[in-house]
Amino acid sequence: MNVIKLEIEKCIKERKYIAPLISIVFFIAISAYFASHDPRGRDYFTYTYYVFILNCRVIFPIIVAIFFTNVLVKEFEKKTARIHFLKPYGREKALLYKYIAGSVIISIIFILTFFVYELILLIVFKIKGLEIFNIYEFSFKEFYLRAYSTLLLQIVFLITFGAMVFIIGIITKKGIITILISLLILISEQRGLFLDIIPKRILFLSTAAKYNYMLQLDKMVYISYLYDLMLNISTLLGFILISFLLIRRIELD
Amino acid sequence: MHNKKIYITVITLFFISALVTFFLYEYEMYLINSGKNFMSVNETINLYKKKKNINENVDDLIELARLYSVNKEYEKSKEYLLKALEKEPKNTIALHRLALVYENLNDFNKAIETRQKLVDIEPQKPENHYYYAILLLTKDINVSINEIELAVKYADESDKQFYMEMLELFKNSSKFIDEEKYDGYIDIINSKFLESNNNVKLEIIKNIRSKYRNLKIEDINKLENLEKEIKNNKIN
Repeated sequence: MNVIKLEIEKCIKERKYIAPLISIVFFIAISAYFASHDPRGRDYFTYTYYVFILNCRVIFPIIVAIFFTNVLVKEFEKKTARIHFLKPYGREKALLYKYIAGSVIISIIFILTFFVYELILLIVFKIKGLEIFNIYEFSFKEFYLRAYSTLLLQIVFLITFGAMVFIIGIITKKGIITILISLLILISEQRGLFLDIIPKRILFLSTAAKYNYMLQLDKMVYISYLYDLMLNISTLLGFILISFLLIRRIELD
Repeated sequence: MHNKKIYITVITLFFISALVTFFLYEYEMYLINSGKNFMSVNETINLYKKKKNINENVDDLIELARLYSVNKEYEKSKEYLLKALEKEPKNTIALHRLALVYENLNDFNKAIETRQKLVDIEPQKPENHYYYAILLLTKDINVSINEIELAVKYADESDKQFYMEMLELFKNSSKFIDEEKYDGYIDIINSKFLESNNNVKLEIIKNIRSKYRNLKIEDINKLENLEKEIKNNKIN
């Protein structure tokens, strides 16, 4: 725990949180702008929905890729990897603590910005009502359950994506290449290029923007949601395992 | 291997989560394949009723009426369709559904009246003449034939053959009927053209009984069997 705390403090001291924080706030504000211009309705649901529609597919994963690259690859680029990974508790734990620290920071930023955004809507702009596109009226309880479940899935997806960025980072050891490969993977997934190799339903990248859980009305919504959540967790654990095997084998400068 | 404990922990967690994911996937597939993922008609009706201003939107009223029809609650279906028609008297979907509802309620006079409105609004649509012709069988086969002739007139090439066959059958049957033989009706009842109109078929049998008073025992039995068959088919 202490090591994770130290890693978090290191990230804060080096101000690594500022870029993702500013970017997330900026893109959430853009979502609010577009939501306010939607003729279908200016309600709470629409505003929340826009955050997921506009950002989850590319913007947020890229912010996360840059952040996780900063957290890990900079150690290789600054030639501090040897100091960092040759700790008495071993390379695997050192990598895991770094990953957990990064995930904690990105989750806190994400939850806080989202929560503050919701509060601003509710208190400052007095945006009320949950009538989605004038169709169905959900109860507040149902709305919050759906909105925050979607948020949780989004966060788990982003930290899984972060784990993938870690693998790329360990292999390339170069920040810009890591970010470019991550971007390439995202774009390839959206163009369906992975579908020949991996079925969509078992590809964690396909859960990037599951905002439809906020609207889906059939009974299966929670089962599908849990499946997507568990798919991300399994993939995340798989990625961690791969990064353990890789970090053990690489040469530290 | 260094850090053996951490490897074991991660591998164990990975297998547990993969197993849970697999079971969730299987359960999801089971729900999809068994059709249990969809809401029941009653659940959908309740959801629709929660909508704001349901009585203001014609499309919503028609959809709610359709759901009640699926649930065989025809009186309620009629109620919502009449509300929709109050707002848009010439809404052809509402009129079509209302005619079907009246047919299911065995109110053939109203069903015919509604079909007549549809034919007046869209005289060039062969389907309107087709449905109208079927309902008219409960009244007068010759008027019904006139409507099929109109369907043939307005049908495009792909549908023309269907209406021509129908016209031929109705004309042949009418010859029997003119000769005071009810067999003509039986041919129509057993044809593909009345496949989904069980209430019309039953009404025709009822008309045969009242029109042909001097039926032989074997004819009565034949009609009874046919009636049973239609009723069973209706239930199934």
